[in-house]
Amino acid sequence: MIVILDVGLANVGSVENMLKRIGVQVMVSSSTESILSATGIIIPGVGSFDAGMLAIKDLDSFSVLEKAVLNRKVPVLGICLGMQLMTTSSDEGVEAGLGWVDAKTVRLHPERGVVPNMGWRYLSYMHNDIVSSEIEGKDKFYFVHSFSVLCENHKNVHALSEGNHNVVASYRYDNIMGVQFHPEKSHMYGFAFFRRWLAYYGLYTDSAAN
Amino acid sequence: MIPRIIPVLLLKDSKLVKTKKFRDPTYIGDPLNAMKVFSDKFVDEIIVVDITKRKSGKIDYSILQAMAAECFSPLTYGGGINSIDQATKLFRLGVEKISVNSAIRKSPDLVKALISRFGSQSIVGSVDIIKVFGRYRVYFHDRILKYNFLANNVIDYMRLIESQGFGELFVNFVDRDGMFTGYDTQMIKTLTESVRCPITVCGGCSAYSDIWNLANDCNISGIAAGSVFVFRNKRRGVLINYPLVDQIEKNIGL
Repeated sequence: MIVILDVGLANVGSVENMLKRIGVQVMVSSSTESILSATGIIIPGVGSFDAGMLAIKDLDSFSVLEKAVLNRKVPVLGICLGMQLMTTSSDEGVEAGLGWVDAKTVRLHPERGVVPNMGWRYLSYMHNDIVSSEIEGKDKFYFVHSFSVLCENHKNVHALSEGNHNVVASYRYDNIMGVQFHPEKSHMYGFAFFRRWLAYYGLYTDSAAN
Repeated sequence: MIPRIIPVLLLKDSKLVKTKKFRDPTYIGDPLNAMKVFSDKFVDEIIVVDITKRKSGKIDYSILQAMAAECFSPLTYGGGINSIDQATKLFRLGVEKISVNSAIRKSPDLVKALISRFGSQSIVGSVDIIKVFGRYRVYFHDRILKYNFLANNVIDYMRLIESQGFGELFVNFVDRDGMFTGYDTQMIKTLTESVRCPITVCGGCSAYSDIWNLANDCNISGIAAGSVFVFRNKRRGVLINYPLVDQIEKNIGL
């Protein structure tokens, strides 16, 4: 069961809709029981950093969540703000981040381009693996963000998005992956991304789709 | 950067309609069906605006829920939002951005609260402008007075609301709505040069070529249209349509 973490302020519906469409069993929840039984966890993101951090730390299941990710190594995918929450800090707020990944979240420079950085962007993959598209330069994703992640260890950078703003489009460290873009809003490219992410961790086979 | 090309769907009493100059809503069809068709055509983004006249505070969640379930592109909703709870509910059901218009004027505190809670990238400031006797004015709807002008200087108003922290401004050219007159390129250029945040414009599109021209002439973030995506042509025979990716990339120079 894939758990979409419900902290009360994210667009959980979009992620749920897309996963259901590819035949994956999902549950929108933040309960301790659901996290204990999760084979994968998705932290979607809408909202500001501090509001997100406070909401997540306020969960009854917070310590169970941390254990699931850090000890049990349950695959976790952070989307947009979710990606940023897993870093150590953000220019957007004063709260400490989850710190699951050695990275920090910084403000986009308005002199480089319009902020928020909004629209469809192509990716350049830094790692050649199943999560990377076979058709690099052809698939594009929807971005909308005013802050972006800087990884302390460049090996964790999974893909870049180049343009006016050059940003880390995705990072991966062990079982932890974060994407700045919104796969759940990137129609056919998003469907393909979720399939690849799930497949990478052995959570998806074609037979799951009907 | 290729601008986002965005169909605008108008809802009235849970039905899909299209207006002319923001009036005379004509029934087009089933919104869910339209959403499915657009979804199959891999749209860049979709804006849904509910224009049902009702006491504020009522949102048609059931139709939006059904539409969101069929929409795998970014979805913006506008119409009747006047509380944080409503916004929370909308985001939960799969809406990506919410757009506020009269709340900017009526409840600036709510706007501030929405932006701080959900982040500026999720809150769109919608501005309706109208050209009367050669002058641009900011227009707002009023249930009692049909027309009402809010500001005589559109640029000042845009800068003012930009300073409230919106992540995007959605500008409708009311007198061009549904008229197939083409976009007001000159004014759009002025707007994009006057504010820094992303702007999406709507009003007047008569054919895909208007979209290509606008994209090539201005540095605009979003190009929206209503009629051109739901009608076959000016004679208003219903046909849901959207350009192919190749067509967009061929016609818009990077």
